[in-house]
Amino acid sequence: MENISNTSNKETKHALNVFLDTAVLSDVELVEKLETAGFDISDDYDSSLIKITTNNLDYSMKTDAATYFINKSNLLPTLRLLNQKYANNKVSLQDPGSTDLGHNRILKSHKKVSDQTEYFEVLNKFLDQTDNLFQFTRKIFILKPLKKFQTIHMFIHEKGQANSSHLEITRESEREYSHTVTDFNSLFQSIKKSKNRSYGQSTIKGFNLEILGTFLAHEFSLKNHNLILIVSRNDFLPQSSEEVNFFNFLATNLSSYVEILLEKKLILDKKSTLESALVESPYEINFKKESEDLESLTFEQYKLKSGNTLKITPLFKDVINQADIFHHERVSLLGELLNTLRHELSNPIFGLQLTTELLLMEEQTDDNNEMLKEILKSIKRSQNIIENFTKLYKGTEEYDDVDVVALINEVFTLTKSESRHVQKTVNSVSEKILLHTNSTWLAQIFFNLIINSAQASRGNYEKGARFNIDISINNGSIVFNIQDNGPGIPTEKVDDIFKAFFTTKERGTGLGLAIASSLAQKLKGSLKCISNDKGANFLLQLPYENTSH
Amino acid sequence: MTKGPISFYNYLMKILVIEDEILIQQSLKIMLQKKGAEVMCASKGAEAIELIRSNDFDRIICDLMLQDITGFDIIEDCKSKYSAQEISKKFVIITAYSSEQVLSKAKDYNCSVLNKPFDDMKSALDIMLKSDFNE
Repeated sequence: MENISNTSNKETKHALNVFLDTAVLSDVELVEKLETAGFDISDDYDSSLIKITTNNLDYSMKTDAATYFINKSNLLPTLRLLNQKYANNKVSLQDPGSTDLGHNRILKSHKKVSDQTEYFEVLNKFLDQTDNLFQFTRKIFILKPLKKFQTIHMFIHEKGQANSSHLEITRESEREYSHTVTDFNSLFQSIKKSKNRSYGQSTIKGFNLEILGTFLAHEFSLKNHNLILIVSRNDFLPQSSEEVNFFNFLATNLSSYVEILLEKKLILDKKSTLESALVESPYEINFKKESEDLESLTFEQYKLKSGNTLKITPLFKDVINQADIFHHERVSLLGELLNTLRHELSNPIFGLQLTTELLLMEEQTDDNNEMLKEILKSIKRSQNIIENFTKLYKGTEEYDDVDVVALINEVFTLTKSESRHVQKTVNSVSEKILLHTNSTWLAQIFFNLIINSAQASRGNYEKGARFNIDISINNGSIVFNIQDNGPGIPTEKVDDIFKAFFTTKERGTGLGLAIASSLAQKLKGSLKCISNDKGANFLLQLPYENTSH
Repeated sequence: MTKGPISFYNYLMKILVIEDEILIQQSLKIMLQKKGAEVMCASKGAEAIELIRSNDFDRIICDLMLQDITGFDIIEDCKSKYSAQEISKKFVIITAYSSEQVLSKAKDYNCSVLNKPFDDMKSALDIMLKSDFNE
């Protein structure tokens, strides 16, 4: 069988194709029914969509193929509906390659029950009307064969959870209880063992359950849940065989509806968990919409801005920029480390300083005196390095007036060991430019760029390697033009280098430039790479307010 | 190098140095002794509290981060022996951390704070040796 559907869609890659024969196709009512079957087609939480294609049985002939996208959990009731309505026509399934769509299960459980189609239509309507399991279950009372029943119990255990929930629904009221999973399992097992589906009080002996009289019960294993359905008339009369038959029919089919509702609830729960996590997040989150620039906002700000409720696709990586998380972790770790180092080192170094000063006070030979002075110089240098390091990594989101030329020179010192072979220079319009910014972030940007340049210029480019930063100021912004004479960045890669985890280095993390660019955005500026055959060229632009006068 | 009594009245100033970094402790001790003070030392908080209870010091030079307790704990313990005014005169806090928190707490006790490393050794020693009688 070949798929001759001419409806193109990007998501058909893993789709399951359902072909329906001519008789089905010609029936307009069916098409409407499929559309109104209630299965939220626009709800795109399940990416493994299943494609139903109707076409002619003569597969070589192109027809006006209609393509419906429904999601996996909706398939079963839909197929049942189709099959009951068109019991004499064949509904065939074909899998174009994917194996894990559960269609075997669907085929197996697929039984023809042509005379009870009406109930499915009713159930489909119910499903249209509500997302709430309580309300859906309550509607079952309307079904004629159940008119003598008074109570429906539904025990639901989400796999992996410690507790199960128990919905007790009567014609007048509804209540919810909670049971331990052990209780649930033993009830589940004792119901599974029985064949006639009719139970008495002995079944629930030992369980703290208020179920009156004899009852009908059925257990199900669904995708993410185990389910027990119990209906009771609240009396001790045995059920008629008609009632038992209907219950069996209903229970078997009801499970797929319940599954839809439960799956929906799971996804909604997930969504609200994610949403509350986003709302409570103290950090700014990068929001990215198609064809728009990345924005760093808190969730509340975003909500205000977009003016409507946010549609969250449960894919974390689209919402939160990984490079940012990495940077945050790195900075806070580094900050902690530096604080510890500072305390652990500065005390003994201070001890050395005092001791040396003491020795200098005493009479020494000239040689010893010289030596002690040298020691004192080294001590002072060590103390300076510690001081500057801790200044750079404040770890907080503090903004200060920062002397940018001094900051760049500080970063040059810090990168000395990595970039010994590179001659580094700064050219600035004025010797001292005070910029109101976060020194840690700004230093990190330069740090990453210098390290990149130094690593790229190893080997062939090592001789005469240069790294230059030109600082200019125009129209309320400060521009750092950063140029080296290394191998440069190939034009075709210019677009990729700021993406997280993009790296050309053997041992790179691919985060350096991603972090640098995200920090530039945090500072309300931008970092751009300019294609240029002299070497690598970056432009860092930050807002600048002249405060010198 | 001047030796001799600090105060007007040929009074030997009695100083306790509480510092767990032994090089700092001993250097301070020698420097203060050279200025003519009588110096005792403690490396641990518990030891310091013992010494304070059994001696009467004119000045207590106290590191904040000790192995067992903090310098502030020692000051708290002294409250039973000294008045707030005495505490503010006696204690000189020396610390490598000069966070806002530390500074504001030190302000509560109204005592001098010296940051390690000292910017200027001479003025640091002056603060440590500043006599009550000069005020």
